[in-house]
Amino acid sequence: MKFKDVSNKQLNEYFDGELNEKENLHVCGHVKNCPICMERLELFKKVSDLIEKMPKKNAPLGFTEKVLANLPEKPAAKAPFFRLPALNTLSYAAIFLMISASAVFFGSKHYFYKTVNVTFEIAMADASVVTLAGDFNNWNMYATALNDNENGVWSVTLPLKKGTYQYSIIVDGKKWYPDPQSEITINKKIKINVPTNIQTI
Amino acid sequence: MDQNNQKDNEDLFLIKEALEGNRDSFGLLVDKYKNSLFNLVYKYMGNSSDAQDICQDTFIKAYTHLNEYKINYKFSTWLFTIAANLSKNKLKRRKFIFFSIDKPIHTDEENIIAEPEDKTSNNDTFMLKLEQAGLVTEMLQSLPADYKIPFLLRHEENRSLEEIAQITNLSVGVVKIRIHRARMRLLKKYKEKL
Repeated sequence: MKFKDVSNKQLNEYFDGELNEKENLHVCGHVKNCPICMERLELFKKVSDLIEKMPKKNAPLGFTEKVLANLPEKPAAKAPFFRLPALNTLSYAAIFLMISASAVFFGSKHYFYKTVNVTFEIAMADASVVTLAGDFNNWNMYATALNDNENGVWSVTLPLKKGTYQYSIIVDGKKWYPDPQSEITINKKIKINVPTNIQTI
Repeated sequence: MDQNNQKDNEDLFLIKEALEGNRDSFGLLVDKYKNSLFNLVYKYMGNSSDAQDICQDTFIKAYTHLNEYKINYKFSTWLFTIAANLSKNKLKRRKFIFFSIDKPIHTDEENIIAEPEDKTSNNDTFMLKLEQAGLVTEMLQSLPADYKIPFLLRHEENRSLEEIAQITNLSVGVVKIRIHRARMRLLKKYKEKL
């Protein structure tokens, strides 16, 4: 009878008695005719013997007493109040992702509350002082002055929180130019050109 | 089998008493398992002081979490599980400092070429010499940590593959492969020493 080659895995399983009857017979038959496998099996035995013949190490004297002296008062009566559930790595990865995602989400909420630059502009060539008053500066007509450029255009840029505001441009401290829509909603960087052909207050 | 059942029942009785606050009952459990646990951890860690720390922590942890012990495991299996985790953690922490202790784990099975049998005739004396020189310990310590626990549980404790799988939290298939690989590595080392 001819026996096919036997793998290291089969040889190990044969040694550990893990093969079924048919495989067992096959390996057994092979080993009888194969000096290499036979030698390897003998070495398996020697190595196992070496390990098993190692002297057993006993716990040192007074071990039990030491353990008893270090025991807590009594075993925990209930599971601790907060315990991480025994989840596999994948579940923890999922939780981690969820936390990161929500952090990004709530972080972006913070982003929405950030201020944006709003430029107020008015063409008023013959004015000498132009100021701006509105909800954002408690309607203080002296708080925010506009600067004029050479073309008679006055402008100022303010960092404002997103929201809806009422405002008015005040020219020379007496002519008020409110927003044509009476209020303006700000949600991004914007340049507001206040028309001068509207009725002043 | 009956004897085993009786042993397990005795453990359950002691556990019940310990849970009711009887520390002496727990002391009896410590007495019963301390030597096999110490022997195993000693051979895994390779030194007495680590083994002592880990065994002590194992029993303290077992006592603290005694109410979580499930009776479908043997008490000793549960103890070994705790000890295996503590030992692994200790080695892991140490790895950060002395990362050269463990050689990288080669997952491929090595090819071991058989040599002519000429030096092994005087085998018993050779084995004795190996033992005396602490070479067996050295051989064992050369095993990667992941292979050592299954191999030791199999050969020192004579545990079944299923029990080893429970203790190491691996599948039976992986346990089997690790035992095989550990054996092949030891065999290679043994040949080097010949």
